[in-house]
Amino acid sequence: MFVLSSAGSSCLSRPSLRELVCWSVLLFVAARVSAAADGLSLGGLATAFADHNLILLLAYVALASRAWQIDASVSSTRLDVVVVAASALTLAAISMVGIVSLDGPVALALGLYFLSIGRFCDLSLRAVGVIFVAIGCNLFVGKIILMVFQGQIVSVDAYIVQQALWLTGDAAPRVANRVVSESGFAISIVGACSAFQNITLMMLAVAAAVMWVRPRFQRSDLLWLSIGTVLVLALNSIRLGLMAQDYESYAYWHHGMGAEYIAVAQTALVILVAFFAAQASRTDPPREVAA
Amino acid sequence: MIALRLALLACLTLIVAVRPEVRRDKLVEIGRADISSRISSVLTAQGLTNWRQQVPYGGSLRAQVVEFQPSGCDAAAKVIPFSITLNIEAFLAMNEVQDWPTEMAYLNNRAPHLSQARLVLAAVQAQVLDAIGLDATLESRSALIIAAPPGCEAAFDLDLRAVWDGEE
Repeated sequence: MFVLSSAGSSCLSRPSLRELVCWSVLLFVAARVSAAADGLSLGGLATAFADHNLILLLAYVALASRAWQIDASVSSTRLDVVVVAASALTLAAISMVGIVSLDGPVALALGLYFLSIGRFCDLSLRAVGVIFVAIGCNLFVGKIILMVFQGQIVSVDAYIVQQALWLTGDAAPRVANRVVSESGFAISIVGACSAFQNITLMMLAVAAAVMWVRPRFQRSDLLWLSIGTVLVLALNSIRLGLMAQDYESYAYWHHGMGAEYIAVAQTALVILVAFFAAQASRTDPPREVAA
Repeated sequence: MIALRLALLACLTLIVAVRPEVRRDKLVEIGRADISSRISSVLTAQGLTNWRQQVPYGGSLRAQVVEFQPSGCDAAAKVIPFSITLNIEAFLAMNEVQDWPTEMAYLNNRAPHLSQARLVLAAVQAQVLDAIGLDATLESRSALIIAAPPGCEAAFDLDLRAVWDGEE
């Protein structure tokens, strides 16, 4: 449990902005972990935390670190209190009812709010806002986009797979999301197979790592985001291309050991890209001064 | 502000300590792996015994097909689960029914026989309702395609709503 800030320690004054942000981070992480836990025991919660997606764990750590670096002397406004209290009540309500899919919108709303007030006062607060927005995009916005535009998105995936197969000498015909290999075996690429969600996860990893190291983006981040996007797309296309060969390959790369290897490789790749993006910042120190 | 801190602490306690179990049951109400079994059960309940389950591509929902032969039909018709945001032409071709009359039905029990566009809109609505806890239609992006060979229009008379309702 973190220590409450000294600012606003009186019963009548408002707490510091840092304290409120720390509360919002703590409540959000608790809601995510609690939703993943099977039982009510501490062991169950610890297991759920340890089983969390590594990228989300990175985001939580970055959130906590940045929240703690917010200037403790800045007092919160009434609106800050209302927003954090409303998000706390919402998180409590959705945890009690079990609607985990609302975590994303709550993260997005908190992120946008912190961004809007952090723009003028505290760079660490802005960093917290960026990470919350990235979490919201991964948990909510990305899924809505994928749901509405699934047909178009998987067609793009199928096109890349077709080109990759063509490069290897396998002239694969394609209709929308369906790719047929030279052997005649066909796969139909659906939303879960698409690289889209992995790209939003990679963006979250880069945002979290960069914001953890420095509270602002720089030009090289765009380069690393582009590199990450290409690598994630390439790895997924290789996997889909391997799956398209025949049924045995499909079974191995879709739900066999191959799928496990690919999952580990994708996670390692995303973390590496995030690491290099964050490392790049150290050679190009930010020039800003906090207002 | 002690009251605020106590309120936030209460929220934290609620988040960690209170979790419903009922909702988790709903999440597995229609498993992806067994939807063809549910289709088969519904067909049997409606007096059709001449059906055959196929899982040709490894067990995902969209790869499951149930073939059945209504009375008066010379060849088997197919019931195929379908993710409504996919390209339907490619999907029909994959299942080799692109030249057959088809009917897409049953996003859930309240949306029988809708167009693909209306099914997508209904799915978005279901997603929003699900997010605020007013609906538990979790396979809302999936519909059933009934594909019948020419001359076998009797296949479209089947009532498959129980696949989604869970009432067989």
